[in-house]
Amino acid sequence: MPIVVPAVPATAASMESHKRAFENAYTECWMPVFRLALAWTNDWPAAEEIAQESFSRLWVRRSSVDWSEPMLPWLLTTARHLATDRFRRLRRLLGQLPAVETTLDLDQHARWLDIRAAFSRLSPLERAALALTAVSGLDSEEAATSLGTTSAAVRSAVFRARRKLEDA
Amino acid sequence: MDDQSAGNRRNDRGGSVNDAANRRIGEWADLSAMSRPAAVNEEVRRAVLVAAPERRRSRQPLAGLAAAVVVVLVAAGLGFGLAGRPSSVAPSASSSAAASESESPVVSPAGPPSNWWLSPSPSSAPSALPSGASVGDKVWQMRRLDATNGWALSEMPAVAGGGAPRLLLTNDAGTTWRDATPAGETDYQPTIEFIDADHGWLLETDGPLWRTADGGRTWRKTALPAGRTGMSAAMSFVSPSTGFLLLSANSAKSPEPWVVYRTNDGGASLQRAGTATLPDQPPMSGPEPMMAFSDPLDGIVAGWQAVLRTQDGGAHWSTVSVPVSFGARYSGVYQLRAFGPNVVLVAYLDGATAPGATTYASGDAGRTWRSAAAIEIIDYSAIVDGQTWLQLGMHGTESVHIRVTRDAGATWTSSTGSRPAGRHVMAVSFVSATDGWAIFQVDSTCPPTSMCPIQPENGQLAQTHDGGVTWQVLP
Repeated sequence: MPIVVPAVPATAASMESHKRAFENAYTECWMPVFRLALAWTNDWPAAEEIAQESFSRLWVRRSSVDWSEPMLPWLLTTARHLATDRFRRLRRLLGQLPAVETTLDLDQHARWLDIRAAFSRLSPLERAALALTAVSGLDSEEAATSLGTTSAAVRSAVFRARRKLEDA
Repeated sequence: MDDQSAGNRRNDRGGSVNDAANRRIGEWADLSAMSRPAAVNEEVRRAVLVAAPERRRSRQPLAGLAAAVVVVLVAAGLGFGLAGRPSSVAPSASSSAAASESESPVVSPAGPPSNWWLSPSPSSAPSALPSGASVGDKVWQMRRLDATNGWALSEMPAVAGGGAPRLLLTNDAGTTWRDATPAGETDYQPTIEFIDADHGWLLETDGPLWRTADGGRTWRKTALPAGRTGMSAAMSFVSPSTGFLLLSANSAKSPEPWVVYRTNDGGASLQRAGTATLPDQPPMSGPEPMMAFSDPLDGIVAGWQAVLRTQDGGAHWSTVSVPVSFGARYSGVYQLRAFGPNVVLVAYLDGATAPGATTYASGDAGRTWRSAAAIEIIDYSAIVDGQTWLQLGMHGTESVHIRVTRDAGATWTSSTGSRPAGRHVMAVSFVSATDGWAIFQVDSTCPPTSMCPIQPENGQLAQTHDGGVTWQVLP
């Protein structure tokens, strides 16, 4: 089956600038985007797919993107939507659940299973709030925007998350 | 955001809590850093080199990378949606947009706002796709309405440049198609409902709700109520004028995750009917809620681990009992259809001992249910009407196992059909026990590793006239 590449109405110069800006965004934002997806789903393969899909969507709309603006808020919100919404529609049917493995080595995988178990006591929002603030360094206002909630809710989610992790 | 800075922030912020929490957060941060963008980049590049050999000869590395990304996007668009509007992902932008739309009069006989009619005449058709065009090989949603009419959601890159989604309609059973996409519609994952060749609705993820009464030649739009989105939404219309929308909250903190709205004017205005209280669904855990109304009063919402019923047009909802051991074994529904008092749902169960799908039927608008099929591994199910259902399962690489009942599950007959080599069924829609469509998608050749890029999953639309034994690809 030939792969149909959509027409990209761009000059070589604009393609160059889009590509460079996209790669910058990819390098700078992959980790927080992946971490949000990982926090929300507590599922490594799903998080990687969600992060990839988030960047795919950014590339699709590259011609309308103002690259001088920070890309992270858009990417985080996209990742959150993907994690909670119709991304799972593809998995809605029997036989469609991919048997994926992570790229972690055995030791890392064992560590991940251990950490995942500890974090499974947290709600998706609690994990996501923690990942965005304590790990990725967003303030609660920025995190709230990405999570579609209030900064107060983010702060209390972080508080609850830490309490649960203390007891874990 | 490099990992070192993340770690520093973590330490800065972690001073007031005890070490156990900080240690676990640190472990999580360290391990999550094992997912590296460079590795994904390399995989993307490799995928393109493998998938498009002519690119390998290109002397323009930029074009190669662009193509790499685009190929992934094509695949992603088919599988996961390519919606790229800023408003669809930026909560602050979308909420303000919704608010401003809400302030506009939705229907004003005296003088509609200028953006109300978006395609005032067929001559300013929403896209350049000529009538009679082919449906293409990138279909990923469709529904056959009756013997001649149907719709498909497709990407038409040659026409749309950049791979915009296209809603295509046919009035001759798929021989020819015309573009009926509302102008400005960019959502790859809209919820679509047509009740006949003329009357249809398209709900974008962030709104608006589009409606047509002339087979997609003209569309009008209605903003969603404040605080609601079209994400994971469900729609059910019982007539051109009367229908219901199940809309989710656009905020995780909403006390009402699901609210049912009713329209009595074909979607021009939406009135809140009531709240459908569904269990919280873990992310990626299965199908989204579905909704089907038998008439303007009786309706069913089926979601994750719950089936709800209303008898008063959505104002009040109560949990109904379906004869399955709910809880861990019940995952959700992926088919729900109402034909007057006959309601049919196909649920899948994710128990460790007997994962599979099964069909439940009600003859009294969802008050009582009976199990109408054994629990089996089936891939797809087509509910034709209250009595005629088909189940399709993939066998081997080139065959399809088909089971059909014409008496609401009392008896089933089995047969084996063929399918194009290297493709699997992605969706089915039947209008009789023999006549139907299926989307055949390219099997993934990706090895089972999470770092695989999303594969191109081109969807060919095919028809059958013999209950799925043989299939012909539609032009």
